[in-house]
Amino acid sequence: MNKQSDFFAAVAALTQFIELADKNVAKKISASQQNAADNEEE
Amino acid sequence: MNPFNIFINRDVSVFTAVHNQKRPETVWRDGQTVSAVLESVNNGTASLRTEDDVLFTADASAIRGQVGDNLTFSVKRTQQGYELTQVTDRKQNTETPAPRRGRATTMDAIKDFTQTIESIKENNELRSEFQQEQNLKVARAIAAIRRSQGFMAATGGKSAAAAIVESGLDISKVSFAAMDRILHHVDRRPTQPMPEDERFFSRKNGEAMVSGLRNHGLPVSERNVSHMERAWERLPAKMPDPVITHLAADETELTLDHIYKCNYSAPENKEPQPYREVTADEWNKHQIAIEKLFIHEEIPSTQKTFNAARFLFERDLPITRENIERFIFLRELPVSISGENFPEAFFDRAAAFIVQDKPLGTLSLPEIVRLAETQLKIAVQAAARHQSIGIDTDVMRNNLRQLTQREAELYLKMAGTQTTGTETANLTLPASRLVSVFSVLSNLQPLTANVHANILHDRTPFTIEGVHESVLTARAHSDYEQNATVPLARYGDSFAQVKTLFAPLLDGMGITPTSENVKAAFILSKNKMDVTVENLHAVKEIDAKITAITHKLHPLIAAKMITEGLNPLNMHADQLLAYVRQFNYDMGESGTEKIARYIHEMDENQQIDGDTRKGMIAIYRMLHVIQKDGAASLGLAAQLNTPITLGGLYDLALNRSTRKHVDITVDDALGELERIVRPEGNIRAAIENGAQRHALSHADIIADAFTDIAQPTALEKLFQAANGMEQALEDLAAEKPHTPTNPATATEQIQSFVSANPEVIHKLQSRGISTRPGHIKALSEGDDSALVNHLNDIEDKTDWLDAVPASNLLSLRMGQSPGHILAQIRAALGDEAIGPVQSLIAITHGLNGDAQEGFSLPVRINGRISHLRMYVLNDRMLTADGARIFMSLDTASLGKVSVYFTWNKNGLDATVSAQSNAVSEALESYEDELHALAEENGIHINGVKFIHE
Repeated sequence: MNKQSDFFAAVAALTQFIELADKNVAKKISASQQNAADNEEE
Repeated sequence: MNPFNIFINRDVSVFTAVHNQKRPETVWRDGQTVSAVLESVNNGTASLRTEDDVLFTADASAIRGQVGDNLTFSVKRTQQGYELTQVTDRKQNTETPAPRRGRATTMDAIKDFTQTIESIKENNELRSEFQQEQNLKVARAIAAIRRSQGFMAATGGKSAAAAIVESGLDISKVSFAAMDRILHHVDRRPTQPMPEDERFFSRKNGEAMVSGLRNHGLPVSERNVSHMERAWERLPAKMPDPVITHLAADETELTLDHIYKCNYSAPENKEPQPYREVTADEWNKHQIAIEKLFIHEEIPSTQKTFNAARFLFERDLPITRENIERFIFLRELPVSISGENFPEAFFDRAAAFIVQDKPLGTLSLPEIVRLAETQLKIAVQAAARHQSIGIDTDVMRNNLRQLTQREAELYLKMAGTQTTGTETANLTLPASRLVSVFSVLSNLQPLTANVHANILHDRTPFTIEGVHESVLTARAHSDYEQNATVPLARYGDSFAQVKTLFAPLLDGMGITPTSENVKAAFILSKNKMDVTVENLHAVKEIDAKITAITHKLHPLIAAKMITEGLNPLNMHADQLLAYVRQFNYDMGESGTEKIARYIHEMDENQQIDGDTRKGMIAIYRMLHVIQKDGAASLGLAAQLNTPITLGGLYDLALNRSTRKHVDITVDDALGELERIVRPEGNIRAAIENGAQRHALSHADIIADAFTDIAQPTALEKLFQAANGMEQALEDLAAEKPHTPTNPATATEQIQSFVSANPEVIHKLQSRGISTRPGHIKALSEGDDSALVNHLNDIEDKTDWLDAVPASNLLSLRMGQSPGHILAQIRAALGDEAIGPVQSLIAITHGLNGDAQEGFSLPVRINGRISHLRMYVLNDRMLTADGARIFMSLDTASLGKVSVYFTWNKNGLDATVSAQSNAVSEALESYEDELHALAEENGIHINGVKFIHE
């Protein structure tokens, strides 16, 4: 039998996963922006 | 001769010569158009000759066209001469560009470039044809939603609201589509006419026109009335054969205008199609082939359909179901129009069209005829309710049967409009099945005693078909009326009389002579069976089930069953009822919930005192127990031979809980009720011996029926009556009050659907989420994001706020309910954010009390406050196995990410959907992390897919 709290835990886990991906993608974006900025300076 | 000035497209051109001495001033008039042929182009000079032989030359760049083209000019007389402006024929212009020079060629180049771009675009569009198709589908769906909204706005009057309340569905759970269907079947009671309306009553159909306008909230003005009158005049008075032939052959919708036009354009006595009269002999030869065709196409074989087939055959038109239906409709149209209910239905639809600003010529006549018939049906049913009116019920029943069939077809059609193309193709087949279900059902009442006996002795299967067969057999033996289970007043056979006969007998056996018991005893005696407790229970169960089926198998439900490939006719009664119950549950009509809501409502209005309230809650809990544990209480009552009354059940419930008289053995290993031990003996064994099995399912039906009638007024009456508690449940269930409870809520509901953004409704529909108002509200933009916006606004000012959304995820992980979390936010924010939090709580609450079906919650994602939304898709509680959940989250770098997951014993299957392929790929690269995070939370993930929208 599933418990309601299991569902919320599942939703929380999926949310955490999205947060993690969001964080990593944000890092990559800022890194590439930094690169682009560096290239321009050169 | 001075050349007369001619200005071509505002450039001066040279007027050179005139054939036949014709000068412009002799032939051209101001404002006329002339056509001229471009005869030649030499050295940039074009020569043109008009139709009246005026010859002139002009600069070729001023003329658009090629040699040989016939050009048209509009003529304007000015003081300087004649101004000719070329009237461009667009097609000619784009296809045949004139030779240009200088700047013109640059323009051409630009034009070419634009054309290239256009064609590239076109190619791209071709490539994304699928996308286009999708867009088209979306546009169509949204247009359909808009139409429904228009219809709702038009019918959202008080009577519509009342009808919805009467339908018994939980208003907060009615979906948009269901509401649309209900409103199409609203009994439109005429509103009270205003005194100033009476001036129109002297006109033909005056009252119908006024009530149509009033019902749709339109002013009763001369303009509106005459507008409708003009439409009415276009109705056909007769339908000659050639017109029918013409209309039957095409596939155009049978609108008012279409029929009107055909009626006037088709030659009166001439058949347009190859017509060949078939002699009677010849026709008889074809009879068998036609009959076979009918069976294949599932067309009922009646005189009417044969006549229709002959008509089509003689005109070489395909004999299909549609054509036959179309022919019958057209042939009977003049009769339908002269029908009593037709004007009312006609002007009602006409007024609805005026509201929606649609031309009255597009009124669909089949729809109006059906509406008129539905109204007739309601009138027949109302008359049947008042039995004091002396009506020949056989004729009525016949009419009703036909009408129910038509209604059933209508429902199926409606169901069909909601399904996708491939499904629609299959719908013609079950249509006739649905019709047969209802023709059989309407035949079942009144039941005959032999039905019960046959089922009891397993002589016939307990299916609608089986019951129907028994009824037919009884009729064939002409003992139908004698054995019918309703008392026949004309034989002086009243229920009271039957009761006096059987009551003492039952009393003597220690059985309370409730109406149900008396009826059952009556049936037993008719079948020469012993009146024993077991037999009584058995008969009562059968009777209750048949009654339940005839009352509860709504055409809407049957249509759904048939589209799912089930045949209600040969399903066992238990299966059928289980389906109906599940359907009603899905629609929000679950028994005990309803009482809980009433108690809550009365509480809020302070209508009940403490004691009554306690009593009601007790009933609520008791019914809950009865439904939940297989009606063990009622089983006990049956075994103890105590009458099934609320009081008796109270005692039993008490016994069960205190174990004074009853011992309940619980198997610890399973935690389920193992057996109940009563001092007198082992009930479990008794239950298994058959009689109690009947009692148990019968109890289920009674509990069902009781919750059906459970409305505040009925419950109140129960407590006020001196021995209300002792009144048998069966008798309570027999009283069926039909008082609409709260039309205001229904009106609000209709309004909320009407004002909803069609795109939101479509979004929900396409994701398979129920379109109930709570969901629509939750998904509507700017509504539940108010809190998130507010939090973002004030977050810089208050340090402590940080902690709140940040910890939400943790709280959720720990199993706290979203409602609880929101309450915490509210407490933390104090008065400042009470509005936005309240509205979010209301939304979450609207999604169902304790947020078991959906919620909306602000969470902090990477330092940014975002919105987490979750919906349960298949109307199952979160705790149920196989629940489908949809969640979405706004993020800074990934945009909106949605996850759709199903849940079962083995774990979780998820589909992660992003807005673009790149994001989807990025998400997929972290799949390992997802598994790790889930395991951390104690969740096992079976499989996960990554897609993009």
